[in-house]
Amino acid sequence: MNTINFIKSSSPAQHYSLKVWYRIAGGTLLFTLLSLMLVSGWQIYRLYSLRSDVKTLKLKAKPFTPAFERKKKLEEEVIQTAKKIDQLKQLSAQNKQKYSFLKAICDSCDNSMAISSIRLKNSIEAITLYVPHISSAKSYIERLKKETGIERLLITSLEPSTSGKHGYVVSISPLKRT
Amino acid sequence: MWPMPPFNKRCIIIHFSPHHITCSWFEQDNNKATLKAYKSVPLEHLELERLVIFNPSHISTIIQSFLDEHRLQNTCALFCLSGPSLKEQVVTCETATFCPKKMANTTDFKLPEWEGIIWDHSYLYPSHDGKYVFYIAGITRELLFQYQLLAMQNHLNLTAISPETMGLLNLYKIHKGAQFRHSQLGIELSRHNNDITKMFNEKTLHDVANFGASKVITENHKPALLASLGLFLTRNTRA
Repeated sequence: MNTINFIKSSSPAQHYSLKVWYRIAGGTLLFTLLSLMLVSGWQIYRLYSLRSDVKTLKLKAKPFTPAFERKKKLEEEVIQTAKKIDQLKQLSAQNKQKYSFLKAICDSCDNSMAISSIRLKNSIEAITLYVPHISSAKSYIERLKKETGIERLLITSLEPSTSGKHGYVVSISPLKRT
Repeated sequence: MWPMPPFNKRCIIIHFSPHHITCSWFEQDNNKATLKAYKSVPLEHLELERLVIFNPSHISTIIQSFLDEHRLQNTCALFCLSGPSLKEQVVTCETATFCPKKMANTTDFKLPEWEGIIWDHSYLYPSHDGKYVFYIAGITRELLFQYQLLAMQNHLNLTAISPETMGLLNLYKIHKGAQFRHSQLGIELSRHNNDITKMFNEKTLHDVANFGASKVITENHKPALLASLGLFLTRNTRA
């Protein structure tokens, strides 16, 4: 025999389950809020304690401020000086090389030759000199090769000298690799 | 959704009839229901004529005074109705399952008359000629809505709106317990000229409920209280 009920209502069991659901949801919410408060509270405490530590350390370090500034300036000066030293070293190295080339070019000459012009960059670019004979030009190249260590030095031009003192004008330059 | 709507475990039963409104509060103690309080107020100025609520403020005052007196706010409420606006009929059917379309030609039950109203049926007993007797009850939507609004106005968690007869039938079933038989119900109903209230005597009442020595129940209030008790016990057995 089923009971006649004109309305559809929630049963007491549904009421109870609703109550349980509310309690669980409320408990979980409360627990989450509490744990958040605990975690964030600890973090805020840490932040404030660190801030106070920084303040005390700053106060302690106040007498050393001029020394710190001087140290900074000195460090900057050291960097600038190091840069300048490097530049000087580079320049002196270049000059040394050029000097050694010039010395080799001059040493390779004998009394019968005369240097007209020398073009130098990092290495020998071109040498123009007056020679009495063609053979003396060849021997000059051989000597220059030995002195400088540059291989493949070639005679690029050979012309008879217009002045009567020397026989020929010789241009020597190294063979450029393409 | 939040906060949780207030719920009170306690349950009150309000019996509405054109001439009386009866509020009762039962509590379940072990296997017996105990009548904690009841109040019956006569309605003499057509407040509830034909079960239509014509004076909701007066009816609310009666209900609220009962609730305030016993501190029963936000309780569950069961409404038990008895009156001419409630359509009730006992019909016979050739099948054990209630099928209105099949029986429309054979019995007094006319389906078009019941259209537009909310109705439900309950199986009663098998008849001598091999047919099955059903109890049908219906109510108009407007009337049902009136009672729902009344419950809302008084902050009651309305659980059921049932006819008085249904409450009495439930009480009979609960009283019989495992010994309940539909055929026996049929025999007893015919023995008492289909007056269900007469099926209960003092002994049967005290078997299922404690009415308390101090509470004097008059004969006029007895059917209302019996139906209320039936509804209360049905709710508790289902829960």
